[in-house]
Amino acid sequence: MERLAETVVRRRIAVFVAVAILSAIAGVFAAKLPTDMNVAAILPAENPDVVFFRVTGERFGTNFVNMSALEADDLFTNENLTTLRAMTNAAADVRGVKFAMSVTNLLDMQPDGEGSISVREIVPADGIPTEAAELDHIRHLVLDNDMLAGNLASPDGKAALITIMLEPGQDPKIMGAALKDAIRKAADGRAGTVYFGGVEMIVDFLGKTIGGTGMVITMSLTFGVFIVLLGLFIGRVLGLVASLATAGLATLWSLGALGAMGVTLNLFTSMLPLLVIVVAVPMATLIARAAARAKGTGSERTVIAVKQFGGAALGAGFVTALASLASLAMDLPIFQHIGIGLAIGSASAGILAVTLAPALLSFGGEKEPAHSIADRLLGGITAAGVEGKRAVLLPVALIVLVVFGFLATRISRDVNPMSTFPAGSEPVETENLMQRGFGGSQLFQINVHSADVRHPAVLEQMDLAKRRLLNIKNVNYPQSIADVLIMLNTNLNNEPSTPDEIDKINNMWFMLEGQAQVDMLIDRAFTDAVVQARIGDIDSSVVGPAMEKINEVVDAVPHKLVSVSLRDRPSNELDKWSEALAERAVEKLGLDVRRGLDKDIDSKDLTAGLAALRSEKPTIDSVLRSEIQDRYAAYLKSDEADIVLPDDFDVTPTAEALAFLDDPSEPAVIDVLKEKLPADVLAEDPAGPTYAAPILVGIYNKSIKRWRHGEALKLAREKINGLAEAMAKDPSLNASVSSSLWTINSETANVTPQKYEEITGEAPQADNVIELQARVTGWPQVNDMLHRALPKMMKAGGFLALILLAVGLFIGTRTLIGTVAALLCVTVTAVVNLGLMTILGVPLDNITWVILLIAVGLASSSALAVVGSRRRGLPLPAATVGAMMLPVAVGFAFLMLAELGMQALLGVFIAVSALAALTASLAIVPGLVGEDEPE
Amino acid sequence: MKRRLSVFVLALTMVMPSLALAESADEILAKTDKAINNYNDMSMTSIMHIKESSGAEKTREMKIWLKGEQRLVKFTKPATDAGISLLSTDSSTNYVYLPAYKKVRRVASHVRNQTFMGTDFSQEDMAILRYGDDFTPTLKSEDENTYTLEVTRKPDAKISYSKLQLIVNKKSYVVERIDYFDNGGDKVKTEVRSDFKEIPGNEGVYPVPTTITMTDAKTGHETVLKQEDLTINKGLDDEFFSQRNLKRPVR
Repeated sequence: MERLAETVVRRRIAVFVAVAILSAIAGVFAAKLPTDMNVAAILPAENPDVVFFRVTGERFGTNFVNMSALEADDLFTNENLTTLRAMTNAAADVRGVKFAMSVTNLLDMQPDGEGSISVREIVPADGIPTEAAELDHIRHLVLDNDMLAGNLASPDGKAALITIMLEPGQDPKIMGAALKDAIRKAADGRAGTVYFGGVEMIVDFLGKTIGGTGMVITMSLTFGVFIVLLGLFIGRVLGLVASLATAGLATLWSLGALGAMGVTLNLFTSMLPLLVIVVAVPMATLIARAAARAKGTGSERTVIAVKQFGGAALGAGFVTALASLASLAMDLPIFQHIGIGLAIGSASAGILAVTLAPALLSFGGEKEPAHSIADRLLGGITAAGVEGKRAVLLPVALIVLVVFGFLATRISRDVNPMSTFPAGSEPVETENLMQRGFGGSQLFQINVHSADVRHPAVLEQMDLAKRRLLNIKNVNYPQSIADVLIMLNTNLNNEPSTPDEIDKINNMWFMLEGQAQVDMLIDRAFTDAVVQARIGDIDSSVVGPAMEKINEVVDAVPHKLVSVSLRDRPSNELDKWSEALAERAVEKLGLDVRRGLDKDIDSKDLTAGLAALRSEKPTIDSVLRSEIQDRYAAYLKSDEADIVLPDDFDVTPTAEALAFLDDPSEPAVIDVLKEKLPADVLAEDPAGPTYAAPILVGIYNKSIKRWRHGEALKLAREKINGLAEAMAKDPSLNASVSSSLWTINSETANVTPQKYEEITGEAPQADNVIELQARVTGWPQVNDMLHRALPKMMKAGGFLALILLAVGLFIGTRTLIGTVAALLCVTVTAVVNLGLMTILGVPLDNITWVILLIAVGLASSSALAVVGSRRRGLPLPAATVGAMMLPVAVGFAFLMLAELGMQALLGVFIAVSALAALTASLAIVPGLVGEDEPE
Repeated sequence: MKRRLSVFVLALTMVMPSLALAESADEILAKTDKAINNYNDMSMTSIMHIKESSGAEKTREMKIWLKGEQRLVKFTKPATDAGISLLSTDSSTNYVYLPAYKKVRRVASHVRNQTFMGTDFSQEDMAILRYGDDFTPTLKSEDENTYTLEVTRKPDAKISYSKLQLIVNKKSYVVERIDYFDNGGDKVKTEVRSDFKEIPGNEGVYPVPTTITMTDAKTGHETVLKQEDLTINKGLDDEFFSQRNLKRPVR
């Protein structure tokens, strides 16, 4: 080190030139370092779950969705609906927005008589009503619609959401700001509270917070206090300059290296500069303070300083770099990038501390030793004093290690991402609104993949998945394309289920084509669809258990199904198929009852009863026959009738004759028509009866289905205690039970290949087997996956760090006892941080690793400084170590004032690490190393 | 004095014929409406080609019959849509026949700007028969071959567009291009009519566009309608446009 110091001093110009060249190169790469402040950028891009999340998000637009909300005492007033419409239109008009959707621009399809529907805007486009009755009507249209209540309007009618879909490729910061600006202007001066949510909105909030006055003041205060204290503790201006230059250039080189590697800085890794500065400053301060305390010319003092502490400074850089590289063992790019960046930064700092810093310090003139605040505070601490107390200090250190180590094992695993944001801030208030009005903000999807997800078999599985999700605590408002089809089928055909044949679905699709809401549930190639829902809380203690149950729902989706048209099956199989339909109906009903009545049903009796309803020929009593006759008559008299009858023709005899055909066939119907209708009508249109026959047969079949459904409902109410009352009170349960029981009317049975073989005695043909896959995705799934992987990653990284630390410290101290002492210092510092996290209720999170790296960096510097001085028989450098740590502790403590939780936490634990490192190195090392001091 | 008067009168007579020949916007629009409606009934085969902004494409084929406000559409391709039929008896009432259900459903749509089956045409676009009923014209410009008319929605008109810009052929008065504007004055879509085929109409020939391209200004989504087998004045009676006829096979 002495030779190095002399060389540096002698060739300081060359050192400056070399540093300048390296800094220029680093600067070029650092300037090009891309940043992506999208919160999604912290996710590991290559992780299969993350890849699937992105792909699904792009496919269904959830990657591009933001939201705004309006909350008021009552949404359904002229004033508030006007505000909501203005906000929606303002959002839609922002460049880069694909569409904005709220209840003010949604269409509603309502039954309008038998088999007719009326399509109109829920809120009239040509003016918001002012009459109470009209507003009340809108309220019912929205809140009685399961697809809207809880999704676009809160069930209590106080809040509404605006879903804003962006065009792909928009700049999050620009879009967030533009949307907020437009929506706020539209809502300005009107009643109600406006909220914003979504990635782009949060990026805008973070950008404004980080660049805002509060943060500027906090950072100014932090660095201002830090620099002033550093100057006072070093005692020389040139020393301060050398320290800051070392830290600054180490940071630049670190960023330049990351830029050259093609790394993109994100919200997490953007704290790297702060980390490098915190660990780099003490290394240079060690040299600067030592130089300030020496006597002589600048060159002489520099040589002395480097001789005394150059090894420690370089060693600290090397050891911190090694420990940081343990991050590479962690399977998360954000940790790996932080590790690499800190490794390069700390190694650079170590090198610069023994090259650039001495080169700068050598310019100082002839000086007497400078005494600083550090000497006044800590100068009284001597090696002898510490050695004398080692019988107390060492056991205390061990006790601290054990106690805080124990506390560290109790560290909370429950993470609430909202803790990043200050109370009362926009993201927190929006999250609160989402939880109280919309079942939470944590949207997840079960993606279902098949050759055609509109196949009745697949739709039935989506419907089942939804029912299962409704039975999971904290999972709210599930919906899928199956719900849209059920609603349409109910309104158009009075059949409360998904269509049971693919031809019917193709026809239904005709009505849905081009609807924006549909694109969010099914892709245009029809190979993928989602069942989406929300988790009611963002805290990992809620998300974790919910995700476990959601995964069970996914596992329950069969991979193969056979869809069997019951029209073609042999009669000897029909009983078994009826039983299969009944089992499916009871399966669905069981889920409804568990949700509505919180109990399981005894399925055996009910299944047998429903199967009998399906398989046995219905007994057509006079009431049913009369209903059928009326429907025949209504058809024959209608404009839709395929036979043009004179206005004065009495259709009653014809309808009656038809009604007395039990299980009519088309030929039988044609015969009746030819017998009963006027000859001139038949002569005019001979094809008429041929066209009318299938319609009339259809009317009969539909009537039987309605009768069967009615009987099934009666049976269910009879067999399940409390069901009738629950259905009367809960329209949603009523609709769900009705839909479940309609299953026995299905013309198609969807069963597993095993069940098919059980019924038919043969394996299904490959062409008839439908393959499907289900997989869950969404922010909660990805976060939960990473959250569960974190402890294992931290253990792997920690274990490797410990080994690398031991190796590095051994190389740095060159003695076993020195290694043990330094390792003990570092371990105590790290464990104190973890224990304090437990005491303060700070959970184990990504930031924990960063805190540990800081602790390692600071403790390594202070421990090596003390070990180095003991090896050379020098006085205990308490004041020097104090100068290294105290400005960091006090200065960065001001970060606790930061609005963002992550930065405030960093402030706390940087201060704690610095103080713990100072105390541990002064209390532990002299007690251990003093006994084994080498020559 | 007398000579000056003569010069004045001469000058006036030279100017006045050109004043007399220049058409007003109202006149142009009236002629345009007449040109559009130069038939009693019409039938055609239409091939609708929808191009998404992502590049994905879809094609539908249908037969269409028109008479005044009445419109009957029967889909023939693809197979999943074959047999589906639509009947419009007026601007807000539609009937749809879904063959899988063997039932005719009445769909009363009160939403004029609802898109038609994922295309860029809305019910409203297809229902506009006479621009003069709902719009007030202004002549913006003209060149050798065309007039550019800006037609603004009348106060009591129930049209979702605040204005349209029509490019009208000077010779035939057919509309070659329409730009549609929303209430904010932003252009939302453009319809280009081309490949005109002249067929005898009620008065003279009736130039019918065999290609109509509608493009969404915001998304780039495009619908191209190709019209073939055009015939007019076949003598379709009102009975043809009935629910009964929805179920019968294509003639």
